[in-house]
Amino acid sequence: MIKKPPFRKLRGYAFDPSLSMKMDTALINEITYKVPWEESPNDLQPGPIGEYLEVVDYDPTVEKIYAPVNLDDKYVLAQDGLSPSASNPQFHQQMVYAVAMTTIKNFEAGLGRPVLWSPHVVEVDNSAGAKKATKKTKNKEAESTRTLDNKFVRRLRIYPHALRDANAFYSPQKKALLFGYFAARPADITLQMPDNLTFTCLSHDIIAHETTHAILDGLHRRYTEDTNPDVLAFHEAFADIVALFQHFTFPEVLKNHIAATRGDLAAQNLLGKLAQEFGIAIGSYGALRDAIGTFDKKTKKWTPVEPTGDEYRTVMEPHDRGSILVSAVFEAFLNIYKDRVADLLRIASNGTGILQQGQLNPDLVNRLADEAAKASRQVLNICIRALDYCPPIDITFGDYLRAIITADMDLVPDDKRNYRLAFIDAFRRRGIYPAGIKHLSVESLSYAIPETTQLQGLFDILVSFLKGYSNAIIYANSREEIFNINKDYIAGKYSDDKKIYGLHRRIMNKFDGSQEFENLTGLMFSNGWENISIRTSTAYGEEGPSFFIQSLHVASRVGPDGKQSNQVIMSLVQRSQTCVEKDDDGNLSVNHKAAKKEYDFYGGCTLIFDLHTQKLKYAISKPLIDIDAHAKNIYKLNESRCLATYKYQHGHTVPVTRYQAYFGLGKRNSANEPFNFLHNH
Amino acid sequence: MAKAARTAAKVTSIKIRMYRGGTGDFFVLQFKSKATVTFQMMIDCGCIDATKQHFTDRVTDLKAYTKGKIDLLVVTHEHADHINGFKLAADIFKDIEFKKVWFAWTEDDEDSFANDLRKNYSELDKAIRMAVDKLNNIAGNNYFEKVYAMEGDKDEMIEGRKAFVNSMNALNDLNMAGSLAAVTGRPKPTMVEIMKQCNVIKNNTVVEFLNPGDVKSRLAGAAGIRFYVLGPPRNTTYLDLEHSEEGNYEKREKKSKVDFALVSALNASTASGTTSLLPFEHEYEKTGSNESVAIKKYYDTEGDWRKIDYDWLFSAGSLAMRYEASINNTSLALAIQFEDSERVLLFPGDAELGNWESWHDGLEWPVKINGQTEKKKIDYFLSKTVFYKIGHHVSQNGTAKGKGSEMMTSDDLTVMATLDFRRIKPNWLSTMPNDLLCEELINKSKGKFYFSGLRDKIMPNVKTDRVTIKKTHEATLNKLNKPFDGKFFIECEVEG
Repeated sequence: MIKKPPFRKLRGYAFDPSLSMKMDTALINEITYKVPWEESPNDLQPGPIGEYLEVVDYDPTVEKIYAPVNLDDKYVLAQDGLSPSASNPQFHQQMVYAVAMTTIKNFEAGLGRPVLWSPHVVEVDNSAGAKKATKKTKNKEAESTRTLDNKFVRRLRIYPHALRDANAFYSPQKKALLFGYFAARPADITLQMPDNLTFTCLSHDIIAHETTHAILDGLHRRYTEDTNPDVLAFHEAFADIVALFQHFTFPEVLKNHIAATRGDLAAQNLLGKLAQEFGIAIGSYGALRDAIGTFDKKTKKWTPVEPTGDEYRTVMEPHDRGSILVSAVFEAFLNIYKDRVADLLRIASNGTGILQQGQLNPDLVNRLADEAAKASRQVLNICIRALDYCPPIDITFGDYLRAIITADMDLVPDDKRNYRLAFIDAFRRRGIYPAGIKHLSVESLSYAIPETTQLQGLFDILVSFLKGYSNAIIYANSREEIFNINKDYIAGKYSDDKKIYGLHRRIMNKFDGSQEFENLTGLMFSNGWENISIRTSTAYGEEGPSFFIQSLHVASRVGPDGKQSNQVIMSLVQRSQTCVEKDDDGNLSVNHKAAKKEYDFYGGCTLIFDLHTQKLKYAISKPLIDIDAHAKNIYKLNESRCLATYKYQHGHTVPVTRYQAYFGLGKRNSANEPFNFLHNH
Repeated sequence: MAKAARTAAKVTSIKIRMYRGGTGDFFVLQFKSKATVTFQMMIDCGCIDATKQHFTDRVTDLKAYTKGKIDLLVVTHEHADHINGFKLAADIFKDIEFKKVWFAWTEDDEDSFANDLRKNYSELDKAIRMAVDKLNNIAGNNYFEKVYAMEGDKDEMIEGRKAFVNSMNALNDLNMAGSLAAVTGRPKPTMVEIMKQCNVIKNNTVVEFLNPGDVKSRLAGAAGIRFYVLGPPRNTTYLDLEHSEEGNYEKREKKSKVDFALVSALNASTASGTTSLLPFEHEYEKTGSNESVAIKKYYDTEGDWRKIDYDWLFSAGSLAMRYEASINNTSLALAIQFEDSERVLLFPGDAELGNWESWHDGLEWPVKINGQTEKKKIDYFLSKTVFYKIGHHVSQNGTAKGKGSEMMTSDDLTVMATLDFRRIKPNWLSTMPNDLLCEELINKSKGKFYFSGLRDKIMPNVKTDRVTIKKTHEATLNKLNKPFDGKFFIECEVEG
């Protein structure tokens, strides 16, 4: 009996096709991606259509279907996939599949659970029998019968040839990646014919970037809402960070460069230059990496950019702002790498730091490339893992730094190589300080473990429920089952033989009026919620403050010391539908008594429970209520954040690009292909 | 005759009348020698979304004001907000005499570079029009409402997509010349043809095409006045430039100038033979194979909400924006100078940054100073500027900063802005007026600043929290504009 292979090998470009046209880069431009094995007929169909992805090669610009690739074809299998070629659409399908699957695999390694796409939110008619208003009325009564349901989306759809534009984007509404192609004017006319077609779906970085947008949307649905200058910038920057470090995890692509630039052995410059070159790719991509360094076209010298410390305060355009985060993470990576190779360099130079003339020892090249790849994988993991420690809404770079530090401390208590300091230092140098932190240190940045003595009794009950949930998840057979279990454990299941008393209802009942829980979450569970414009929910027969559970998952991870952690992570979100008014002097104030209350303000909290210790480990909150007032038993909206958000969304801000000026709908409409917008500049 | 012209009384002042009521340019300049009007010049006649009545009122007034005789007409560029008045009031223009009309070299149908450019622009124009038609068709059939009926975010989604279509329409409304071509099916006409159709150019009207670097002087009636041609540049790099180049690495591949891939697909229905626009060889289409049939079925049946039939048309958005900027850059930009005092009036049309940049690229103009001819660069003209018609309706890209406004150092500067919220595309409101530019120019001119629009409507958009405007300057601004409240023009006189 022959065992199923662990992975499928697929050939693809390491960069994009243009480098295959040059003798000196053609060799390194082809690498073999190893993706999890999926098999026909059920798991992999021509397309490819697998468990996570469906590549649908329909080109609407000419209304044509390009024949789908069958990766299980024996000829295709025998040669590790189709050979890279810009002129064969079937190879394009293979390339997007290979890179997107690689990205998914990296996320699953970091998160310790399967990747789920963001659900398809649809209206359902639950007023059984009562006819849903056939004419579209917008009055309150019609609204009340309108409820929303989350539908499972098994596969992210990928359209490799969807646009004729130097653009590609993730559509949160279609759960699809749309890649464009365009007639190019090559920088080097000797390499390509002018007006040659260039395909964005053949660039590793672009595919990884767009796939990351989709995965991040699956983890944090509300990060597409533009509530502060960091949110969309974070989406962009994070997608770029993943693309960059994923690229660096292939030692093959590093070796050639390390060998070629032997003089620059410290290699941090080399890696910086490389990072940028990867990003150049095509069209308007890679702009985020411009913050890493500058390249002098005349002297052909690359120099890293020294941060001024002012960037975070002054730079507001999402891409430029995102590039601050990219360059911060990159600097942390360089310092980590430098530390890791210091001994190798001492050995190779007999302690002198000066290498002998001639070619570099290939063993040294391999070791350096391996160290760079290893450091990249670690940084990639740290960045991905931190996502579980982020608040569910309104993220800032400071929140992300805290998440990185907390997540890393959680899994790797002994930070021998000072990775955490490398991150803190790089963020500090760019002026990224989390709000409310008085002093930058590992201890102050990591979230405190909350005191919950009074609540522990309740938490014990909750944790035993969560253990049941965790068990159900462990034995789930498919991602769809995981999705459905999540749904059942959140909303409850009362019809079948196996009844589940849902988490939402438990929280509603158990923490009703609990000031300590309110203090932890920053959300309101006491009477008087309507005074701060929280809607009343009658879901369980009695009135209570409306809130919802946005996500629930189990994360099992193993740290480098073999320590295993089993955690359940849930995020709660609450909305205040209120009114912000402006007086004659332009001052803003919140008015809960206004007749028209159309401003939605959200608070949210991520709760992380440790299943071993049965304790709440972290409560990472963006409070809806004013926590200081709450300490004095006064319930007030968190007006400072509410007004700041309102001002950001409504203030007289100058649009960043003409494109946005013309086609933008303002910051409040996030349902208008936000990523297409961000990329058009 | 020549002798008579030389001894004719020199022009001592220029009175500028700016017609108002909406966003668009419409100017009449009376060159005066003491109290006598010796020369009448008109620049553009347009206003976005204006009605026939709007122009009937104003052009009737113009006819009376100029006594139906205009020595020189300047048509800066082809956007509707600069020329639609000619069409809407063609029945009045037939009774107005134009002795001479100036166009940029782009309108010369004997200039091969201009013809090539116009051919390219025609393709773009047509492609954008096709995209707009297709989008209007989709939106008109309530496609978005149908496909997104059950989506959780349906209101925002439908609103977003419709807003995009509206914005495309707004952009396309500017492309007046193209709309005339669409009717005839021929390439876009030159503005000379359009001005003939509008009864502006008559049998005895002299038509001249101007190139950057040109100087015109000794125009009958305009003694002591010299006209310097700054732009448009004869260089597509500048014409396509909407903002300064940035980034340090050369991208490996950039979009081609004319976006052939997109344009050819949009124009496919009109182009003959479509093979050249297909990205792949036919063998890969294999529409008959089982796999292809299966995948097509997959696309058709696995949910309409995931289909991408219209999304690619949205790429025409950035195409339309680039086209708009290029056309703005074809603006005929003029500096009008009083020979003796060297004072300059600057009329850049809607020139965008590329046009401004090109003035600095090696151009020199012969200037007569104390009877001597000297070659002068653009910094000289900017430093002598005492009147500035703000480019492109006070948007941030209509006035260069370092190479423009900052070089205007005269302490006797007057500024006019053709921005009027009474008629404006809603999309323009977010870039017009640019608060920082207004701050600079209001402070520079010490309040000698005229808006064609109602200042109590516009000033709140100027006074944002990042600008500071001196109270005395604002008082001056109000005082100067006030006498024209309720009139459909604003006037000021610039001394020579």
